[in-house]
Amino acid sequence: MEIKIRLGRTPSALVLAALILSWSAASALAQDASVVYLEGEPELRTTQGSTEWLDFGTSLRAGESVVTGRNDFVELAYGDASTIEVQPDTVFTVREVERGGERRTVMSNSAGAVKYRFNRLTGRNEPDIGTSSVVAGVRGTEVAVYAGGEGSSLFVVESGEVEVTSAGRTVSLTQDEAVEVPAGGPPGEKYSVIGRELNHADWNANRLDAFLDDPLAGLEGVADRLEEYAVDAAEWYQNYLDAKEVSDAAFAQIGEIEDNEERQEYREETWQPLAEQTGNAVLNYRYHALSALSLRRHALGSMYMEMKTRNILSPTEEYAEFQDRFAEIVDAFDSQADQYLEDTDI
Amino acid sequence: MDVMKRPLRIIAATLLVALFAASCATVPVSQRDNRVEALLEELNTADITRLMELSARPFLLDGEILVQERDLRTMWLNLRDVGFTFDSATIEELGPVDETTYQRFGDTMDVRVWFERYTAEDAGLARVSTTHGTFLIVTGDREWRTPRIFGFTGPEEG
Repeated sequence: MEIKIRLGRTPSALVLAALILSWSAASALAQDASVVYLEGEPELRTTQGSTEWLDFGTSLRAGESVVTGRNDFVELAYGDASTIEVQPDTVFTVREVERGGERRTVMSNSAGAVKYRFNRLTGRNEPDIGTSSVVAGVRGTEVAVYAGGEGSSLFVVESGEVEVTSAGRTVSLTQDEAVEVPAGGPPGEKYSVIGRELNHADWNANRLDAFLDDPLAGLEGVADRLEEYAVDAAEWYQNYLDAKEVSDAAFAQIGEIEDNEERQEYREETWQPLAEQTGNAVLNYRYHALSALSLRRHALGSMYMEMKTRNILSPTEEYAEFQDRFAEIVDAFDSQADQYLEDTDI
Repeated sequence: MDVMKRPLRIIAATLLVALFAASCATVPVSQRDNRVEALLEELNTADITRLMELSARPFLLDGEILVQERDLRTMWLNLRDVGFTFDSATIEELGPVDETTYQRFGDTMDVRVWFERYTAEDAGLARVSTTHGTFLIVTGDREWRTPRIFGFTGPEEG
């Protein structure tokens, strides 16, 4: 990203804050992701927290989500030759994160199913893909990603390569291979999907049954992943505070430099990289906090709804234990991630 | 004398009707006892399609925000499956939602923001006792003459 800035000798703190935000704010994606086909009445959730009807030609910006209902379907064109199919009952979100000095696009579905078809020419610009609990790297891939209502994920590769990493374990998938990843846990063993009919509804129903067999174990997986997000968000928030302190000091220094040429050189070579670093730290702590919010909303919230509505007339002891543990997890979330979230995120 | 009284009676009756009409106009559907009772009756008897029409999204279930149509549908289907209704409902309290109402659902950022952003301008709060306990129900907006349900919590403990 190239940014040309002209500042007076005594630039204000407001200008500084605006510039830092400009590096971290919602922006156009590295490659355009725009709606080329839709069915039903899918919705667009904007970065301002408003909900609008999605329309043909709408381009997604970083931080925005497509939400489909049971009769909805959306196809997005990504770049020149890649497509993304958002299936019914899905929440699909595009975010940006800084990794290794460069901005990466991360596409994830916190509920439902998404099918990606990336052209090999997309190369390094291929985004990372996943769910609210796990992210995978892809290369020239046709892959379906399923998100379970209890936080688990399933990656099914039709062609190309996918690397799924979670809880310190990486599994590489090639054509006709799949792997399931429980929330907060490592990927399971990969398996062949040849001769298997996989669809999200059946898979999700099986995951729900497994959750209902042991609701407390299901909660723990999500709790672990939320804790990881909270730790990452806290670390990046501290990075932001540290970077901002250095950046602020450098910014103040600009006003001390008498010579115009020297001042301009200082701005461009010293202060701007520091401000960009500060902006990236904001981008990253927000990424982790928003990922946690997605998991809390679409996995933890669904688990609560399932347990509450099934036990509303005759609460069992298991339900009481679930309620207690659920309250602890939500309290922990509120005290950790909430400090990095804004009202428009809710 | 009677001849003189008759026009006065007509005027008085007209004024009463006008006053009644004006009071109806000022109390939103979502905060009228008989309309909320009609909502509860529909929630107890309607099919899933009608339940979805009467339900706003995002929906608040206790402290949880249900964003997805699928979750809301599952919520009603599960409640039907276990035989839950707002049975023998009696409205004990009904009034507008105010800035402190959210605390009755949960003192969290989620719940506070949901009340600020996602309730209707005419949002009402009904406290309803049923055979299954006492519930708080957020109403608002309307489908013809029936208010919609935006969320509920309960049964209250104790």
